[in-house]
Amino acid sequence: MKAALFSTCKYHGPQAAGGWPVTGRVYSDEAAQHSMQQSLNQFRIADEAGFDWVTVAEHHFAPFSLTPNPLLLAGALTQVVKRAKIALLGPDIPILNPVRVAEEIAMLDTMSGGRVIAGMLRGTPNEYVTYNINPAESRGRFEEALQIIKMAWSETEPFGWQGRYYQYRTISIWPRPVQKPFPKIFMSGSSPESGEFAAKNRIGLGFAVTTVPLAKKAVTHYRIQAKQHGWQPEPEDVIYRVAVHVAPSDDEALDDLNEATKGAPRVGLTMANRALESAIAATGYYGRDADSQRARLMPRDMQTRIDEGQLLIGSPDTVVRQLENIKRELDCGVIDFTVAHQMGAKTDRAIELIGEKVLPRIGNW
Amino acid sequence: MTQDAFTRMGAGEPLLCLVSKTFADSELAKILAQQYMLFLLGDMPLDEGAITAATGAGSLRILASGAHCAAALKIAQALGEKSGAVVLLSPPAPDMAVDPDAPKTQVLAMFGARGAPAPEAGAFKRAMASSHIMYVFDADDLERERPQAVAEAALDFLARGEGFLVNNLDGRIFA
Repeated sequence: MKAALFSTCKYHGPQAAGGWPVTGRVYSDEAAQHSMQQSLNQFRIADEAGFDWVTVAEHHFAPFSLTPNPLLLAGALTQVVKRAKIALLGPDIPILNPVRVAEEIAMLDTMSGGRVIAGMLRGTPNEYVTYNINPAESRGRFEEALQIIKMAWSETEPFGWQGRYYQYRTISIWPRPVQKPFPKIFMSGSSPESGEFAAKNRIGLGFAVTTVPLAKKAVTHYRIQAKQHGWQPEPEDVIYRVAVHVAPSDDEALDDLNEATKGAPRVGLTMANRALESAIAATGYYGRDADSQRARLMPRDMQTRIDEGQLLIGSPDTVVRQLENIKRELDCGVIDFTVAHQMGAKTDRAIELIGEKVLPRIGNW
Repeated sequence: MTQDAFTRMGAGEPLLCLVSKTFADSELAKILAQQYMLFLLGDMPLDEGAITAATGAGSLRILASGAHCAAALKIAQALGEKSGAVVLLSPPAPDMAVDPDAPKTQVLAMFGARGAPAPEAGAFKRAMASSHIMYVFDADDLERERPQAVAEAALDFLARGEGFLVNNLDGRIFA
């Protein structure tokens, strides 16, 4: 099993309470700069500790993550992370200019010597407000944008595009990806529609902000669909992202996390603004499995998160046991560890501990 | 060839159409006919002199599809500087020799893109380097599918030639 490190680049400084979008009234430039440096350092530590990938993601208008353009952070990572692959998990392509995404990822693949993993996400529902895109268009935009990106990478002659959502008179990107015909592509796959599209198009699938039981249902659907399209996904076609904190003992790990979170349940970006979430749901954004998709995003307390495989916490031995369950249930080939970025030195030590005592035990799974 | 050789449709400047026999019934034809008088040419001998006499055009724009595209290119080449912009729908790669020193006919070649892009597109571009390639997403039969999408690009190219690369739409809100 491959291991990835996701440092969210969370802002660690003064902030007003809750909601989305989050006011910048008490924003601290110094805290933001420190937070970004902390993240870069965590990625460097992960690279040195033997992680296979480092991952970045796109979020807007909140201190949860200071990477509205994760590809900019990835640009910095090409110079900091010397060995690991750089996984873009990813740009939210329905709200972006797909030609720009193709260009930037090709730049990153060139700058990194062909180490880019190209995740293409729809993003969390709230992100559609960011650039004023109708959430009802999300899936259609995603599917069309992905085709533009793949063709921008692989077509060698200039071409125009007359799409449903995008129109370009001519496209011919420079630079082009080092990996041919293009980097490995993943998409998020919690909904049945996503699993079906990924299976049809032979795309890898990633799971985040979900639980092991929900991911198991989704990955089973994906594998059944893939079989119908004549192929069998490998374990490395499936990524499971999970929060983690490791300390020398279980008690220390729990104490660290309780201190950092004050025991409050994690509330994701979408559910931080329930009125907004309801309005987005009304557009049909969630698709045919809406109830399950919305339930997936609901806040959970720490024990429920541990029980449902949303949080790995404890000593290295404990975390390996928790990982065994994930591997058994999902047969995923990549585990994307999301570290509690804000704990500073304790997080750094957790990354080192995972590198020393967890990765050697899961590497041959 | 006489004017009777053509089926006419719409009003405006002439647009010579070398297309399928059922094209006149298509939504695309109806959209194009709002801006041009379509001269629909079926399977018959071609004579550029007769065509210009019939259409009365100083500069003749052409639209063609599929197997008719080769004939459209020959007419355009024969017309020389009198040839206006040419729009081709799903053309095969041209087998005609293109004189690199000849005045360039402005050609837009449109291909469907449902799934993988049509391999004919690359072959066409290599054979006619000065042409513009345009993929129409989620369509195969460009005479029938996504007529508004096909018409939007075709009409812009017919009107502005290579100037169609430059967006001239006004998206500002003033009032």
